[in-house]
Amino acid sequence: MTALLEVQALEKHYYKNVSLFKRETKTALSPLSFNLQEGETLAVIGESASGKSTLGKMLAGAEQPSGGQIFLEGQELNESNEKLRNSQIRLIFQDPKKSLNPYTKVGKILSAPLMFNTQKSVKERIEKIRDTLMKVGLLPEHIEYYPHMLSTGQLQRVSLARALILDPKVLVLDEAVASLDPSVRAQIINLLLDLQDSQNLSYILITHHLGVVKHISNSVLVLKGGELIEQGNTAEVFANPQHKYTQKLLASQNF
Amino acid sequence: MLLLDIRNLTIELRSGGNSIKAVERVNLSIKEGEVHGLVGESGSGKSLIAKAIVGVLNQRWKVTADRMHWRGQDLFRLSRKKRRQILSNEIAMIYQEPSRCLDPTSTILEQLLESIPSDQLDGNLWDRKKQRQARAVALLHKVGIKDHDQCLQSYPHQLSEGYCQKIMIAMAVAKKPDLLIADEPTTALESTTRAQILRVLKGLNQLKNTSILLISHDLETLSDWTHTVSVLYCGQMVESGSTEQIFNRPHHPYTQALINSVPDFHMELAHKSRLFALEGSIPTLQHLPIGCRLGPRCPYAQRECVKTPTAHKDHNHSYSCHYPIDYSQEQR
Ligand SMILES: Nc1ncnc2c1ncn2[C@@H]1O[C@H](COP(=O)(O)OP(=O)(O)O)[C@@H](O)[C@H]1O
Ligand SMILES: Nc1ncnc2c1ncn2[C@@H]1O[C@H](COP(=O)(O)OP(=O)(O)O)[C@@H](O)[C@H]1O
Ligand code: SF4
Ligand SMILES: [Mg+2]
Ligand SMILES: [Mg+2]
Repeated sequence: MTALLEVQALEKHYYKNVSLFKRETKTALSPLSFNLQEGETLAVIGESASGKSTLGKMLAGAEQPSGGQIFLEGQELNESNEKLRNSQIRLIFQDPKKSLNPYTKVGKILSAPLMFNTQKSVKERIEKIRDTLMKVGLLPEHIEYYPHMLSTGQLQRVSLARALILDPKVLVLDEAVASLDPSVRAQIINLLLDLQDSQNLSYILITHHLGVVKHISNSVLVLKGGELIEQGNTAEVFANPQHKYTQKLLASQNF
Repeated sequence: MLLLDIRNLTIELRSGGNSIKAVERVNLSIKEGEVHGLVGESGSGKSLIAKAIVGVLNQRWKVTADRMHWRGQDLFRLSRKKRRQILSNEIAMIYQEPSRCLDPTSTILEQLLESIPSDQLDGNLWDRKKQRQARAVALLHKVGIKDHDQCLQSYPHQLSEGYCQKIMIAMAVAKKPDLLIADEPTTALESTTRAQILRVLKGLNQLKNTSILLISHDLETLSDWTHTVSVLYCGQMVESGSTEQIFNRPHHPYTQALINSVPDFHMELAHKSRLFALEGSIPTLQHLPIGCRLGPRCPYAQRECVKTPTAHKDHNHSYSCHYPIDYSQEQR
């Protein structure tokens, strides 16, 4: 069985002009490879600046890799099939208040990706928006709401709806759950689990909340300073971390 | 002796003709040398309480209390000047977003030097200058910053949030406060940095006997090393007691819900099983329910709950609920 998502030797360097003649190279991510199966969750953990967001952005096509390949259902993703990737791998950020335009109604926020990526008629779009709102536990009436009229939990549901509206295969959640309030977080986690069951969605879960990682992920990548230092089945890594850094990371939170 | 003792603190927002009780009859007391956790989801009034204690709320807010004692002295009865003096010398506060609280236009060194009170120094001008410099370096070491030279020469935007938070703590510690109020000091940080900051605070408490009011929206931060915990929901104090009592035998439905919603806290949770989640969300000030404010979301709510419950006290454990969780009959 081929994996849903296959990543091979993916890497990223940033270049910074130090002076007129000198350019400094910063390695945000050294070559790394992994697979993600359909309906499974891969967690990415590591301290800040370890390259987690860089990885997420490259997968979702928001950043160009410096090298390596990404395959979705066996098909390589590159500039020629950008649209496919944009609809199949979707990114959700940490703070829904910052990532949603406060002056745009929810309905419009959700119809934008449909207009850019599909041939749907107005009627079909409205239909799809209503369906998706219901899927994330909101109501069709919310189409007429502005973001400032919603609570943080509802806003994160809107971000989720925006990501889901193109029927993606993979969601990349960059710190999108841990910083929420506990009661909101529990609601969103349950929703993610329900969606995974019903749509066979796969998640890339970037988070510092190890309790959440342990509870909902199947496998885990541990990054440090742009290097992949440990990967494997989540239960095994948590029970028996090999790398010293992983051990320290796990010890920094009590289980 | 109690360091801080607050009874029935009410904080009202004046809007138009009427006023809204954002915080309603809250009790809070902190012993000397104690770490007290204040937990509640965003919007429950944690920052308002902190600001009311240090007296920085503006005219839109009306703050009343049956008493607000600092070392046995009623702060409300002191002259403004005396109160300011106590507050600025003995209580220090650190805020959630460190990079926003530091001055972007001056270096860390300048800001640190400014925060060191002159009465901690002696000698002539030259001596004092040297002492200040040495104090600044010592303060950075104390909060776990080793490369002090580079740090002191930097501007806030050149440093990470974790660094900025450590500097905020260093500045707060500079005046050797008796009480440190830390308003969500780690919410913006990732886990290893978070653990470092908490270690610094823990060290302050253990080595200097500094009391700490640690405010957080998540229980995980508090479970480890607070002595006592208060749980706030929507401006009402729902439960308070020793950390052990709160985590092991919560009596209030909200506390129980909080604990059950965190995967870390139950080991026997099956992989990918659904978490316990209260329905709905915390109401806004404009739509506060009557009586117990948890009512619309509470699985145990009954008619009685439209009346505000009074606090039951059981030793040092207190909870405000008409139908508290009863452990005496439960054999599970
Ligand atoms: N646009 C960029 N330009 C230059 N360096 C960057 C850029 N984005 C990220 N980096 C660097 O790449 C490294 C990894 O960053 P990031 O992926 O954001 O880490 P994480 O999400 O784990 O905190 C960091 O050292 C960061 O400074
Ligand atoms: N300046 C303000 N004007 C109007 N409402 C406010 C203001 N500051 C806080 N509030 C409201 O008061 C309540 C408590 O706020 P806050 O103390 O900041 O909560 P917390 O710190 O627990 O997140 C919230 O409902 C919030 O919306
Ligand atoms: S007083 Fe009633 S509504 Fe409030 S927590 Fe207790 S049972 Fe629930
Ligand atoms: Mg990141
Ligand atoms: Mg606050």
